[in-house]
Amino acid sequence: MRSLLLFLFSMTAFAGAPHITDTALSARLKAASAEYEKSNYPKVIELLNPYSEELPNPGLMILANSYSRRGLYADEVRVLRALAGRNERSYQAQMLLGQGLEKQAMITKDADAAKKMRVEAVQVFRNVFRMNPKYQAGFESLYALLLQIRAASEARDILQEGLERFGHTPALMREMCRLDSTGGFVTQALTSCRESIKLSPNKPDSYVYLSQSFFDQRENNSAERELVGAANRFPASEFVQWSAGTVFLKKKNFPASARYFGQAVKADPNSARATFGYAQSLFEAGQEKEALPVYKKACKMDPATVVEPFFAAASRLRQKGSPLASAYKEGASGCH
Amino acid sequence: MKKARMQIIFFLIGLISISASAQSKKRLDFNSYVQENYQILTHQKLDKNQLAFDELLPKAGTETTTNAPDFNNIKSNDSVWGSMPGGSNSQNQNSQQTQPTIQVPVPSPAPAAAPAAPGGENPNQ
Repeated sequence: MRSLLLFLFSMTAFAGAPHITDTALSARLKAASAEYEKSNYPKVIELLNPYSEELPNPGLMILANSYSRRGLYADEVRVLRALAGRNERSYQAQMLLGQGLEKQAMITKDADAAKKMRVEAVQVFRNVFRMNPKYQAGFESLYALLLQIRAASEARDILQEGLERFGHTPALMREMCRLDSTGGFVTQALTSCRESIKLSPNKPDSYVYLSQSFFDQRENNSAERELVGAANRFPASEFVQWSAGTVFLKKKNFPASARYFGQAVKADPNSARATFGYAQSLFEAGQEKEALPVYKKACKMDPATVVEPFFAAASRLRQKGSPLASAYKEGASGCH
Repeated sequence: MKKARMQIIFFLIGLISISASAQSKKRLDFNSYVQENYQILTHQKLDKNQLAFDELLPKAGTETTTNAPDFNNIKSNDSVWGSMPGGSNSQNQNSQQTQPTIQVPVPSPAPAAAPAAPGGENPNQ
């Protein structure tokens, strides 16, 4: 009896599904294609979505892309899953699915759900990379996504594979230098950063990471030499100037740090970190009057970081009996 | 007269090629789809903690198509997957604005002698 009911139910469900002959589907696909070319995506969706299960690959792609053009990424992913499921060995279909998941994650407000989508996308991109190891876009998507989800160790492994597959290109070596240096692989960083500098002598980042690695090895003189050399070479690099400023600020060489932070602010007037460093350096160097407007600017840029040190500076001035104390306090209060 | 006729012919050829180019822009294949996705995702990926991929994106003609299934485009017999995307829509971040945290050992107890600060920097260097 139960099986009979199930049979009847399935027949009813089958009767409710849209039926279409091959000829009618082909005509519909042709019409959808014409609408797609006219950028009439709602019409494409209207024509193709009811028959998505029966569509050939090009039809699925047009349907998925129409959803994408309308920003309906969840629907796009649904269609791409059908495409990828039907073409399990096609790295192209998997690639599109991976990107679709990334887009869906991008607009998903629920952080956990977005994370799950990205993790799935990582898995999909891994498949792409495995299926076609020479497909750089697949490698790049995988690597970038691993960085995005803060899987630094896995990103480094993939990058190493990338270096084997695509050779030691300047861009890959810059990445290797950065990951080695920030990941604490000091010995490797010294090698990879030197190689990176050799390959891209006009890119400033690797000089900073090399310097950082020297610091990590307690080779402070080499580190400073590298950084000062880079700062002279790249006056327009906020990163290099800010790094040099940070080094001298920590060494309490405030006139030097003020010079570098000042240069960093020139290089990028929107850099909150450089502006804050400049304010601190001027203040510590005894130029409290000059530091005040810089503190105010830094505080507007990044109140969460700056407000407390700004109040602390006001407090120190008050203890010294400085007439600037109240202006500092007022400035810090205006931060919020 | 002959010159005028030639001009008309050239005009028509130009018109046809412009029309063909406009048509081909509308057609969807794998590469254009991937490229379009890059554009959408670039806004998200442009994170200061990530470096530039200006040289990472695949260059035309580097793809191996061993796994490409033989799908037919609706409009033609071209593979829907097409050829590789170009490199113009990568995460083209200015590498001068990266943002790691620099950790410098602080000398103790007294600060080391001040190294020479860079002088006479030319911002346009």
